[in-house]
Amino acid sequence: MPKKNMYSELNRLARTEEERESLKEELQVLSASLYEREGAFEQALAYKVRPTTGETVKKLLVEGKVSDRAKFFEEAAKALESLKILELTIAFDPKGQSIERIWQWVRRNVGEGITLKFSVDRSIGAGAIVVYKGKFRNYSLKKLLEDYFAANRQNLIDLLA
Amino acid sequence: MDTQLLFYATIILTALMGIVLGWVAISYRKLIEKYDKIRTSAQEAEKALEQQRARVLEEAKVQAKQIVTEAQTRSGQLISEAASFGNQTKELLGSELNKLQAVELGYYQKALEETKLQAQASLGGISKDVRQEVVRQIDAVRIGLTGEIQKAQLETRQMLSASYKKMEDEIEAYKAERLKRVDETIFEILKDVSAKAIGKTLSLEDHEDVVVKALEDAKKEHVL
Repeated sequence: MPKKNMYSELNRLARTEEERESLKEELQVLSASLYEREGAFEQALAYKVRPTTGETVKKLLVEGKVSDRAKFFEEAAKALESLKILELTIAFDPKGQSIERIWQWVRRNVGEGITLKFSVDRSIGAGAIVVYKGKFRNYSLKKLLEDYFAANRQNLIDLLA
Repeated sequence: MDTQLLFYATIILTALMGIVLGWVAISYRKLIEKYDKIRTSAQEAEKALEQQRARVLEEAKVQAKQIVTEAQTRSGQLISEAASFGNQTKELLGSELNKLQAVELGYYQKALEETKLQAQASLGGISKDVRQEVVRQIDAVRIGLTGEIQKAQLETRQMLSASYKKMEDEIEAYKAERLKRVDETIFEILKDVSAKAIGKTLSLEDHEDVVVKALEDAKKEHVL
């Protein structure tokens, strides 16, 4: 019987929404290979999924002493579905390093079981618009400037006059 | 025997038929003669009738001619008599009408003269009063009109001043509104330009730092 917390390892492979979707597809491929000819599963682990995915799955199966692989993949799919989504609108296109840094911060400071959903809007200048569990907050540079101009409107008019 | 009997019978029958045929021929001849007689007499009767008809027609023509001649003569007499009577009547009627016209005209002229005199007498009396009344009315109307004109001028002037003031106010409000919009647009442009300009000057690490700072603020504010 696989342990529930063992699926948190999979969260590392599903840091963003896109990664989660890819991982779900890979797990489906591996699960389907269980019902094919002998040796199909090992072949799928080696060639049909990303190396990191193959290694992580192999490690989890060994460390968890999993005997029912079909059950394992079923539980893994459920665990991926249950990940909470943190939506971030930012002013740049995040790549590997940036994603890792932000995701690590979230993991340490907010908790496990979260996947990031990035949107890019360069008009916000910098910062982020955050949406999480139905809460919304704008921490963008654009909002900062809006607040500043609203507060100092008359001073600015005098300055421009 | 039978043959002889048949022979005699045939001869007898033939003789009888000959007698019958002869009788028929004689009867036919008599009938034709009778027919000829009747036809001849009919033709004669028809001829006589035709002659009689022609004679009657001739007599009728003569009589008709006489009647027409008599009628023409009589009608000529009647026309001449009628013309004579018409002329007499016309003359009589004309003289009577002239008489009547003269009488009626005399009456009308008299009545007209009398009416004229009466009217002169009546109008002569009232013309002075009427003139005075008319002059008074005209003066009153003139005074009234002058007052109304002055009043209208005053009202128009006031109305124009009010409209001008209202227009000035509206222009001022419009100017203020436009200036406000210009200010807002300037601020909008400034804000966008600043945000984009600052955003572009930041490095990837700076951007990451700002995002992490945003997440920290979110956590402090219990958004996360």
